[in-house]
Amino acid sequence: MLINNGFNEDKIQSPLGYIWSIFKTKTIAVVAMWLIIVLIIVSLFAPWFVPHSPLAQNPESMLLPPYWVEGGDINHILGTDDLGRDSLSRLFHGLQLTLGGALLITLLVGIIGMLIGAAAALTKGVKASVLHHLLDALLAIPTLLSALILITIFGPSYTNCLIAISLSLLPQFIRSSFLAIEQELSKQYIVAIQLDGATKTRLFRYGILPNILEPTITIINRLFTMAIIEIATLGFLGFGAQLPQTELGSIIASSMELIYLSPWLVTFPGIAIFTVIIIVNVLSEGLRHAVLEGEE
Amino acid sequence: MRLICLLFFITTLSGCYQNKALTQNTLIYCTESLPTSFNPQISHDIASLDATTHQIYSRLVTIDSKTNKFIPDLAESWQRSDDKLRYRFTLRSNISFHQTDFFKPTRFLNADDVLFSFNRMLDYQHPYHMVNNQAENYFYNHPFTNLLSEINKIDDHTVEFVLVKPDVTLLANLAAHYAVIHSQEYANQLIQQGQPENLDFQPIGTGPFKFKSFDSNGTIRYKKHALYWQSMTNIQNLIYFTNPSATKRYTKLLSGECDAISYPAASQLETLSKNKNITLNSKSTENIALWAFNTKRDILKNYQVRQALSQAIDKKTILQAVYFQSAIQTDTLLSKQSWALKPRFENDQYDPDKARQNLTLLNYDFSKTLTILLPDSSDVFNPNFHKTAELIQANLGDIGIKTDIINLSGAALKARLRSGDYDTYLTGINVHINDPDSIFRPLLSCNSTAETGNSSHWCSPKIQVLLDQSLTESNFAQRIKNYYQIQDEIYKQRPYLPIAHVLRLDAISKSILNVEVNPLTGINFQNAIKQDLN
Amino acid sequence: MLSFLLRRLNLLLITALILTIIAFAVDRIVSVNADAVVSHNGYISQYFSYLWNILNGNLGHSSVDNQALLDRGLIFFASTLELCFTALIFSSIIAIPLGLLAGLFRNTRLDYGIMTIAIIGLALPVFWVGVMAVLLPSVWGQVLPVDGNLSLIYEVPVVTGFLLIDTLMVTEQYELFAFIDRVAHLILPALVLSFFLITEIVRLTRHSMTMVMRSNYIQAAYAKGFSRTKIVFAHALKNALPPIIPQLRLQLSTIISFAMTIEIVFNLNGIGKWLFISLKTGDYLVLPAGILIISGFILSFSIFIEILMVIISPLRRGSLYADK
Repeated sequence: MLINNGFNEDKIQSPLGYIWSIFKTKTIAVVAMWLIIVLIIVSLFAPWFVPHSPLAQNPESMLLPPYWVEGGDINHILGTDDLGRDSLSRLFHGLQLTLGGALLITLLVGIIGMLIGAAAALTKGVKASVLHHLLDALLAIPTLLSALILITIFGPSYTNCLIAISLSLLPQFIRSSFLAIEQELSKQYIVAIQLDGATKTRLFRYGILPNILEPTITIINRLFTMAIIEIATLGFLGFGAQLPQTELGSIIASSMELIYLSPWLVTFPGIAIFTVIIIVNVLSEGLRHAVLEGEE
Repeated sequence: MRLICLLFFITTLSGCYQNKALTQNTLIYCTESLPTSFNPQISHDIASLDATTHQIYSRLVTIDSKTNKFIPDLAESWQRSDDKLRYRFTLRSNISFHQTDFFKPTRFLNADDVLFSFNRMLDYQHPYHMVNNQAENYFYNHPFTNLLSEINKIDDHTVEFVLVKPDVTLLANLAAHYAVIHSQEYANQLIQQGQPENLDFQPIGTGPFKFKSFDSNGTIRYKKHALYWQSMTNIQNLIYFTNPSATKRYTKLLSGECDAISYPAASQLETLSKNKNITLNSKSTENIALWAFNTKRDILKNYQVRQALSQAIDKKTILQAVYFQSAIQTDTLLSKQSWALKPRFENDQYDPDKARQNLTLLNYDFSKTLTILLPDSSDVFNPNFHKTAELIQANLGDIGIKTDIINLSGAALKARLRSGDYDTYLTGINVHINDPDSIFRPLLSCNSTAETGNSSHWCSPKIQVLLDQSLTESNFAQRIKNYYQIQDEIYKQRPYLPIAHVLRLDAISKSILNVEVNPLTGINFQNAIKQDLN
Repeated sequence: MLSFLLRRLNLLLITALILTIIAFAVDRIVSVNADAVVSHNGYISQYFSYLWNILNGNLGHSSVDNQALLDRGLIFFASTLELCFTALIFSSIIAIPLGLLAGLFRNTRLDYGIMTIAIIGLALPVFWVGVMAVLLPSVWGQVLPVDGNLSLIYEVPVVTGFLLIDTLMVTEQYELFAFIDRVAHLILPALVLSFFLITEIVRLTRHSMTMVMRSNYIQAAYAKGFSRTKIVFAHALKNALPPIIPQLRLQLSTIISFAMTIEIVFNLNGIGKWLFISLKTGDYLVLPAGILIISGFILSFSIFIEILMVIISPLRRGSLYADK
């Protein structure tokens, strides 16, 4: 990238800056990024700008269809539910719990998982062996099952559901990050750093971390996707957010019996989940490509 | 491309996956809940009655659904003695019990079977009296205890019922679901095998269908009883399938996997009534949805507070949002069909402003949060407890009362009810016998606990005396008078806010004819005919 | 070879042991919740008697209907496996060709198109697709069953638990109708489950194909002047497909997790619905049984695949000797 600012000199960019400059050329990915930012802001500040409170009932306008369908009302763009509550407002509030929860889980599990994964890859002997066997055992328990176990023990609530999902996604994430790091460890430049006498933390920070960016993006994207699906699934099964909390999965569950009368009550939350996952996936694909091109 | 091929394959397959020969003589009825047993003498819930009364068993007399007159069933005829104390029933001959894998009858029905069936309920020394915990709900199981003094066998085909005092309700009681006739031979066989409890779970009767199997996934299978004496049905296999989700039942009705469904979801009624291939059968019942005030709570001790709270509830919206057209709004515990209903001219008025004023006058503590307890699952008397609670919450919010909705299931709910740690409870009651006592006693008797119905913890000596008196009262006019008094008192005291009387609803495919539904004794497939509409 | 097998077996044993400890812990906790009789022995001796029971195939009895949990659980699990297997076949038929194409024509429009489909498959929440499928009968009428394992008119005795096999055993009575009915009931749930699998398989196949096409022997084959078609069919395909299997194995637990959700949505009698219903009715003892059955299967299956891979793939045979 040439910057002609009078000195006619190439400005050397940092690696991250370079990747960023590549990323900026990918229009779809940039759009996805902006959409994500908008979504996060929207769901964070939903209470301030949605037209109706998600719990405000209105017996005058129950089960309105979306406004473009005959009988719809422009005040309720996506219609209302069986208690006359505005679907759009409920959707944004639902997004707050679903998307927010998923982001929180991604952040927590991402950091903890990466640390444990690194520790597992960098240590040898009994400690590592114990960790591996434990991981193998935990990995053999499907996420839904482990979530059910934790929720049975601690009782269904939104917080417990988040904890359960984190705990069940953690082993998977540890494993993926472990594999990514171990693959990197076998490369020769790492051996070179090791020969230099670098400590383990230094090895990890300067040797491994910058080079596992690409696989990390993939596994974090996967982590996020699974987290959002699991939150919605548990909410749908009645083990997650409890009424009157609005979570996309639980909105779908509570509208199930109205599916023939007012199918959009079930359709929109599903589309919302779908859209969020698509956007994040597009963003992560864009990032990954940028990183790959940057490395080449 | 492959996807298209696959879709093509699916559509070609879909047309022919059902076996016409088998579907034609099979009737599948999809129900909401599992029966608790297969004996209507000990289980009075509607699911048990649907699965047993008319299908497996017969009674001595029945009521003609059109004329409402008593007609003979297992009894060919009957005579009343001049002192009105003795009824002599002549039994039909050559009535055979079901022949199944677990029982092969060697004789036809005779007087011994009738005696066995009634003595099980009446005789405390009877070997079957205590089988399957009958003693636990003793009171409801013994409608005959105060009625009959003894039953005599005159000969193999004649039985005599001796009354304590002249009583016209004998025939009505004999036509009720709990007067079904069991096989004594089968009962003896079970005692020999050491499994008397099977009498109520692997039933043998004389009805049009015989029990074949029951699995815990919720499927009950019956086969046609080939030797049934008056069968009109062309159904060879009758199958009950339990699926608690109303949407799923409706879907299966649409896809033809169920021929009839019980309680289609309230929200689907409108679409259902427009569907040309489906008949919607609705019958009014005594089943009622209630909001119970826990009268033991300090904050709700004053009846005026309870009255004011009742005023704040907008029942009309609840009816619209929760029940659609599946219930009738009500202000009384008894339904319009009940003979004991005291006509009431002033209705409950929805008046939040007045409610707030009254509460302020009563120095009601608005800062307290009121709890609304409710069951986790739906019930026949309320398709959606939570939605109802949310509406009530909004109503109370309007007059400045904060509420907390607590939904619990199973054991946790029972424990909470037992502990009495709640202010109000959204509930209802299933009524099985067309008698005011069957609704008042569980709700209002001091002996009834929150689990058995008295969730308002109501106990008033005055009402208890009235309840007990009217039960034994022989003078009908006096009995009605007592019930009028109870209703007046309860209307004033307001331990419960009646919300709606629920309809018994069944959606039946047009290909099935002659299904009768009796809200008290259950559904009847005795004469059902399945025809090919295509 | 022997030492490799021993090491795998050792791994299996230790992991299984950890699983039983988890199951035991869950069993203790839920038993306390359910006010069951708590024995006064120490936890260690309790654990050993628990382990002994497991080894004898006794996972306890349901607290609701008092049936043996292991028998019931296995029958339900068979039906879950049937669903997973059907979905696997569906998705392989659809996804492998797509993945191969995407890998061959990497970074072309075709590739992007295929990858978009793959992402859509992943992004659709499984339970929601199931719920939407419930709408089908109201739109199309009697198309495909959306509820239950098998039409109720067929009475099929449980022999293997795999209904596809069991229905074939009653052909005397129902001819092939019961089997066809079973297939019809499987189609929609299996399709919904395969959405996720398609994504996975497309990604894996694409990646594997790309790697193979870049490898030296393919370059060498090009250099020999073979046509592209011949190279792809003669060399690339048979080397691109095997590496997918061990990768897919890692997804097994996710697949079963999704299958359990689908069972609940479509009301199929599988292990997911069994656990769900039992938990809702307060029969918590099914949980440890569920853990042992599901995880036991996943564990033994993974190790079986690993051993199989070593036997069929020469490249991996190295791990027989290398002590890594």
